[in-house]
Amino acid sequence: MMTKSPSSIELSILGHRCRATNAPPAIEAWLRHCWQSTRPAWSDAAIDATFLTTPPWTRAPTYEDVDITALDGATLSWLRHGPRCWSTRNASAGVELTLFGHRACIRAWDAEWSKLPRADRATSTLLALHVAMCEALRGRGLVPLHAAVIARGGRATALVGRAGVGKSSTLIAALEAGWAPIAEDFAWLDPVTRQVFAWSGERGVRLRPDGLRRVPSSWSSAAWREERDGKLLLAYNQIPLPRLESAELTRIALIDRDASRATAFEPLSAREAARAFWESAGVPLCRLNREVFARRVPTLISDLEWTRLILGQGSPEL
Amino acid sequence: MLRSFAHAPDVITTDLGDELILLDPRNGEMFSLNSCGRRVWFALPARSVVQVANALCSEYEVTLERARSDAETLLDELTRAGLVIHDDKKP
Repeated sequence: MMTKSPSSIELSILGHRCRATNAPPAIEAWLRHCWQSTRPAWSDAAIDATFLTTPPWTRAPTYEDVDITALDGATLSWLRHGPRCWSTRNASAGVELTLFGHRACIRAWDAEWSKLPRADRATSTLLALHVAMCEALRGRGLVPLHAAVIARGGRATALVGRAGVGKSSTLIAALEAGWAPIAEDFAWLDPVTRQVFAWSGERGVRLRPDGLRRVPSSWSSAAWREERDGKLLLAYNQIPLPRLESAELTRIALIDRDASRATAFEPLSAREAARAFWESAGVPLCRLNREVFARRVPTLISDLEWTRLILGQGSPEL
Repeated sequence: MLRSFAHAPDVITTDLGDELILLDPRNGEMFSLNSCGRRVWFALPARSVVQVANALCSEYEVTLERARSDAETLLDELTRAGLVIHDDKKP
């Protein structure tokens, strides 16, 4: 009997080589759209992803604990099978992640890959794949940042803070003042070189409809388009300043809002900086990844400029 | 009864030199220890409160009795917060 040989694609994800085997068309499109970067891959295969139509095991494996990953507006439960392996719970569709030092093996299964919507992160399999990819890149030393990032003169500022606090409207105020965008909500940091990188999965600036009231009129009248979740999207190609691929991160601003006072910058204590950084970067699933990152945090706190940006009356001068 | 103490698994620490930040990844809660608390944390694992108190006495000008009382209070708080685990053994 003839068997079909598996098909593989290779792509560079922030310079790390990823091989995807038997990727269904929707997943290949998602990988290319959200993860493929223009930086050539310099590493050996860092991520090996295989896509199956049935679970990679015949009997559900035992697990020792449940780990939760918190995402922007969602949580995901992972069954932990020993110190280096996790899987999601669902047998009909799921993701398994195994970390071998700097290399990650991802196996994803779904009986109905063809029913997946196009590059849409809303499905739980894609959400789990996203987390697995993030964890794999954490294993390569990169840090995901939930932040809006702007740059000028080769130096970048990351704007962090809770959802809805005003990161995107501050980003627009910065663009109005001549800064270039790198990220609207999600970026990658190399803590050794301090380079912060754009994530190709972002399509533009997103605002809640009421956020339009807080941006200059030249921006509020731009070609915003309503998305399925009710937010408004202004595509990067509609923004006058081109989006940058990367810049050196020199400052992190934690945004707070206080309508009773004037907009101002204030110092941020090391303790508050540590909290803001962990909240922005999230907690890695893998203990080794946590330990590596935890060792880097104090240096990043002492080397970067940390500040609190109180958004009140008036526009911020970044 | 001898009570031994150890760090709870998975607790993440950020050492700022004069302050130690503890993060419990299970619930995202953060705690801050001052320099004295930091010394207690780094004295773990310990076979008894007295062992932790001795570590404090070696760094600070404090009586063993006072160090023991302070260590006991902090270790109780850390245990209640799930950041430290303890084990009771007969001497």
